[in-house]
Amino acid sequence: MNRARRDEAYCEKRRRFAGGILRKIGTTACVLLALGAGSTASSADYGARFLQQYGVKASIAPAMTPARSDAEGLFERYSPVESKTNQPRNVVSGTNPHNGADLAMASGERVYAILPGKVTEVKSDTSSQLGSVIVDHDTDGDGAPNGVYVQYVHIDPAGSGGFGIRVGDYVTETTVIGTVDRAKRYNPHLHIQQVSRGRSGAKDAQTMPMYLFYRHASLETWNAGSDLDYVSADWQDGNMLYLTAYAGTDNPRTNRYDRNRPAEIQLHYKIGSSGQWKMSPVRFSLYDANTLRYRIDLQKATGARKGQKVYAYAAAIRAVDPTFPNSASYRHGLWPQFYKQPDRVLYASSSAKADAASRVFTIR
Amino acid sequence: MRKTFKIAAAGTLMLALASGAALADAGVWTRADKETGRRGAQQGIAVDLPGREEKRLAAASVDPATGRASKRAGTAAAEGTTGTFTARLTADGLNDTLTFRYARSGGRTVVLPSPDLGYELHPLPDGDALVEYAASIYRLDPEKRALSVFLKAQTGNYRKTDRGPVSGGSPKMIVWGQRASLSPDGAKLLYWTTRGMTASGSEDGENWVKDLRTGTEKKVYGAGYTVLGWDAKNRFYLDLGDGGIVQVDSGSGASAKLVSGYSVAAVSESHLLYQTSAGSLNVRDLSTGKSRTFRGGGLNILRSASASRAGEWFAVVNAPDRSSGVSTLMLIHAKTLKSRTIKEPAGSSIIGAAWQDGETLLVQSRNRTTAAESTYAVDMKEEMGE
Repeated sequence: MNRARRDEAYCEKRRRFAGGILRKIGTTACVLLALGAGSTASSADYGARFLQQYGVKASIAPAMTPARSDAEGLFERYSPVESKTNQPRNVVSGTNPHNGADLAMASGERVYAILPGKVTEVKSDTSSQLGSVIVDHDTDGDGAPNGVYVQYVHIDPAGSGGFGIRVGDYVTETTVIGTVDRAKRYNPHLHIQQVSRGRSGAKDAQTMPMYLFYRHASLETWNAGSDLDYVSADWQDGNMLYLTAYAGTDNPRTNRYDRNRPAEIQLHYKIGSSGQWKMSPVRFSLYDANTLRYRIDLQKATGARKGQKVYAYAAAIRAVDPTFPNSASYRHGLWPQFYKQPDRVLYASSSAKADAASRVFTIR
Repeated sequence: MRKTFKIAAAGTLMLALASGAALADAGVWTRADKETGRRGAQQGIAVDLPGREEKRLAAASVDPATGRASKRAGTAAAEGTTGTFTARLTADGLNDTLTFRYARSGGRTVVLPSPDLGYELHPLPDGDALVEYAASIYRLDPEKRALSVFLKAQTGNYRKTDRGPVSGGSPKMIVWGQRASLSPDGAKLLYWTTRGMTASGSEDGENWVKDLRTGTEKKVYGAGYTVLGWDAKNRFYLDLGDGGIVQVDSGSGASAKLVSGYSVAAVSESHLLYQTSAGSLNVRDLSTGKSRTFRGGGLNILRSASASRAGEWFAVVNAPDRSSGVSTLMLIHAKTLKSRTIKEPAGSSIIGAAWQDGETLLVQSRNRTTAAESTYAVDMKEEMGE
């Protein structure tokens, strides 16, 4: 099924889903998918572009954590986040920005499916810690998958090559799909990633934000899911645009996990479709220090008049921290999210990339 | 016509028996106490866990401007009132205030597991609790509302203030203690640590045991984690995934591999249940070492398994068809292998099962149409006559 048809089927399924509020969420999810589909269509120039999902109120589904604290898998464990989706990193190898979220889990620790669903891929070659499982998750719990794929990476899939998990298996939230692999190339951890396809080799596979699975998470744990994405939870109120942005990292000096504010969040914009791209002299300002919520007045930042269309994208510049030195060459995460080291200034050589990446706002 | 009906009915019965479906067992769900939402248990205390509905409400309560939620998807005592208190942690350079949930039971303050509050919690027999926080383990006195250091700051050449080897220009983080598990007699505490990284460079971690009577701490097993449970002889069992299941003596550190390769498994104080091939499972008596094989009852592939602590019963969630979302619940007596197969509640999926105590099995389910979650408390005496 192609993406549009799949989304249509998903939306129809959501529309049938009982319950007033749930219906609203389902409708929101359909809008998100529609927006996501739009992003897909415009991403031909950037094969590995993130597939953006917008919104603050929506939740794909209230997922469980992949780590549990009891042998039955009923008690959730919120593992600290070592690195977030779309986070710029200082790494010798590996994706940059990060194409998923790294959860601090122990070597050998069980990994559970975060929602029920059907296994679409099992990669059992663990020679470089690249074993993985993709599950097409059943987000509404009706026993049928919904085309919402999550890949669990750096694991030893349960029963590699013999008895154990296979493509086509239906798993529940208490099914062990693998264990965190031992250190070979990386430190032991779970890399979890929402992907747009059930096969990791698909040429058009894209990385998607994770936070919409965990909007329920507390400030003490994953901050409404924002611990999993470098930039998340965009929201527009009038001319005010809100974003949550920060880096997540382990801090070897204190043995704690930190949430580090970005050095700055820039707004890049143009007014009208034929306008010229530029960077606003105004930066996003911190609005809530606990949740690390930022905002910017689009009218003041761009000087646009009422009724004018503003095309905009944001660049959150990661600040120096114990795992991110001044010498790091790649320092920004974009919103809407990009992947594969895009330029921070997307309009340096032509405006096409910026046009494709931006969102359009009408000044009120 | 009647003959045709009889043949059809007989055929259905044979098919049902062949597939292990239990025709008369729908009554289990009507006899069991049914509670709304997800319920689990920790050391015999029933705890309401945040389920789909609680999480949905929490997500919907997020203020879009501030990002703050006005409702929390947290745990609560299944019975009685759930209260909260705070305690300060001023040790190891920390100066943090932690919030704890509690219920009053038997005149005592019982702290509830609350993963949404940012830590893991393990009740101790003396009423205190251990709190996993900031890569170490601390003791909480809930009556005094006080937190204190629990693990030694130095074991052998390892010091808590040590920092990991440098890699890529920065040192690596060390976990001093996490993922604690208490022995059934309350005398030993197993925990996982990467403190050995400073010497070995390995980040795979080690299993250490703290003797709660003498205070001594020592390594008892190398890398590998997921504690299945303990037996009555203070041996613990590690599920190493494809590396099998090992039995480790918490005193001597002597280990033995009991299962090779991946399995779905559960361990009680007396028995180990494990499945390594479809259609059968094995139950090993941990005292004698003798294993027996169980087949039948429609057993195919296990999705999960749970052992009652004392070891009389196992509850397993079985997938008659591994590609289908439909499961059966199987109850298997550890000694006799007497079993019973129970269909899912009408229109619902079984999410998981765990024991509240030796007599009560909590079965979590989700309605496939409304997504509403429920927990059934199955009375084993009533159902199995034990």
